[in-house]
Amino acid sequence: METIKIAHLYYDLLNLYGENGNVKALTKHLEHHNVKVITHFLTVDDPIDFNKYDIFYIGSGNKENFEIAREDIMKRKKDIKKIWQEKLFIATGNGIDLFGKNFVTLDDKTEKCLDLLHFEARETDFRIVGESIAHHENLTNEIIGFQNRFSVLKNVQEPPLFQMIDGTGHAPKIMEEGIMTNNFLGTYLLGPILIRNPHLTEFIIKKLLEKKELPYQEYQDFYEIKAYEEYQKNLNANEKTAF
Amino acid sequence: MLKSFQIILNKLISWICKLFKKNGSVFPGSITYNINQKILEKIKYPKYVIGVTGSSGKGSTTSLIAHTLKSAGYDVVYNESGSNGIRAITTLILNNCTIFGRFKHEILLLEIDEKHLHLAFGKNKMTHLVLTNITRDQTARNGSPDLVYQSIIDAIDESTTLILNADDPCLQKTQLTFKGKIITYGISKTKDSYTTSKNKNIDNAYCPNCHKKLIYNYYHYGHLGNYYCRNCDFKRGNPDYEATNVDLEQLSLKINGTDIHLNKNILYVAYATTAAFALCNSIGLKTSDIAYAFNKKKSIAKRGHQYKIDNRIITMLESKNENPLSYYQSLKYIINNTGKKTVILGFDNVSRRYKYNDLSWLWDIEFELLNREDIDKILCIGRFKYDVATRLNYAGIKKDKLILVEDLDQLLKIITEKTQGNIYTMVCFDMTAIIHKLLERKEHGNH
Repeated sequence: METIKIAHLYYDLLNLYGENGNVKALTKHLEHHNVKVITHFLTVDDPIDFNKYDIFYIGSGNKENFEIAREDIMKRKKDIKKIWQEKLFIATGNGIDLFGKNFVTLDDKTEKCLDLLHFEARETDFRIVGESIAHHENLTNEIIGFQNRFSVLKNVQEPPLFQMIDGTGHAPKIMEEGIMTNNFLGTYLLGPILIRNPHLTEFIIKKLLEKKELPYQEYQDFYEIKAYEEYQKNLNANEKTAF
Repeated sequence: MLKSFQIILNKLISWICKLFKKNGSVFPGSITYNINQKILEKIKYPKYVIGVTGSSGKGSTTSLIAHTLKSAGYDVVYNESGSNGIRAITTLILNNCTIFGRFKHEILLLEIDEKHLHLAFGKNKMTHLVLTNITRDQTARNGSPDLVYQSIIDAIDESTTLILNADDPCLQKTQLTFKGKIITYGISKTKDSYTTSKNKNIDNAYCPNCHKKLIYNYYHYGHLGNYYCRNCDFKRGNPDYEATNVDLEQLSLKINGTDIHLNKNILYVAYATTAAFALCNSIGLKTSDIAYAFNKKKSIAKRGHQYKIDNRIITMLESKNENPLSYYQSLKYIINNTGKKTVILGFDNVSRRYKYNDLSWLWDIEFELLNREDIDKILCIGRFKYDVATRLNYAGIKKDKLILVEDLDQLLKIITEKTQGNIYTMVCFDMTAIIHKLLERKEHGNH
């Protein structure tokens, strides 16, 4: 039986929005495809052998926790760079900020980040909060999620993960959201997004299985699909009722 | 003059609300507050103005304080209805003033929404502030717990004496910076305490002083427990008021050695009781008077009204959406009871305050606790029942234990026909109200 190892990085710092659900979704979907999943929860000061893992997951946190995680991950920059192209990195919420060049704070301090992607994250003096709907070019189903953030991305050069239909992209008035490359998937959408969008999770898993030359078989969970469909119905109903 | 006008107007509108049997706890204040938002700063307050705030436990702490003070003979006014926003507080205060703006009672006691504290008074009006805990709660409104904490701290100065829960590192960090008087309380190890965090996603896992990971001797729930930092001297330490010998089955505990009765077998009530003890003792009530209030003049618990269906008891537990620890308390309560059980879960809207339906918090609740033999069925109700069912299924609960209730009017019929054991609802206020109505209807034979 094939084994896939997931490292949930900074699980005790970047965990503000039920992020553990995303790892649970990956696990459940992979197990459906007869893949054994081992997850390690790793954080500040833990010894990490980056070669050991197939998927790295990072979630979102408040400013103080983000800073603790940033300081720690910078000590591992060299190690991450070595394996960056071969592994899958998934970031949700402001975890994505760690992968750009810098994080610029409100008082204009420039904090160095991993510099693996070409963007700069900037702290905002307002929060971006709200339900979001997005489109992914390979999926017919729209993506549903939630945003609750205090940073924006500037000068993004990599292709976006989503086109926003409703909600905020990299920054206000920009409809492109998130980043997708061969080895990186990042988005500000929360939810947990991989639970709430089973189609997206399957799309990710399919790519992963192809890379590993493992067979893919259709996966559908009644509750997950129903939750997805009901949410869209509810959202339309909400628009009509004045709150 | 404007002040007197506002006071009279407030009283008049309240009287009209009463006349038409409308809930007048918020509306009068919302009118008067909008005329002049500084009105509360102009009132002449009594010797004690006590606030109670935090993410949860405000209501039970406030009513226990009120009960104890009243039992000791004090003339106390407090927001009994639980409305704790600035408008409700304005209504309450103005209704209890003379038309010249002098507060007429000995003690003003207020449960205050943590985000409304800065709106309520000038910084020097409150003599005491009880801080219950800061946990993740309504993140769509609050951002993150640290922002809630900051807004509380920004609303006070050193003239206010703080009575804070030292088991919460987010509150204990106040010791590092606050210049006024701090009195602490906490609960020592109980038989339910655990030593490794089952829930990996606790808040405040790191030292607020030096940012190293905190070490816990034990947890009560969430990030509440006994912690210390290996790197600096930040720690929970020994609180001024400590509850020991907590026995939820016998409904008893000791506070600094005095035996005290609990009005409910759930740990947050132990916190509320200890906080009330600490506050009352620190404003001069004798230990014996406090013990008398708790032990002889037992107060009635606010939550947990009981109904019956075919001799099966229904316990209604309120769980606040977007507050994982509130749900956790309900879960703990349910599994601490013996025998087969049926659980009802779900909601129509995430919040009553705003239209956002963020669902991420469902994944921070330890629903895994319901994955056990004696849970017969779990009924998922409301608009988000499939999200709830998804979460429960991920918690390892088999699909044949889950019933998705499409039509709420059928709820009681489904309970009778398809489920066994005592019934526990663990839903938020609006769902409780709906189920309450269904039960009332059944009791009156119209079902």
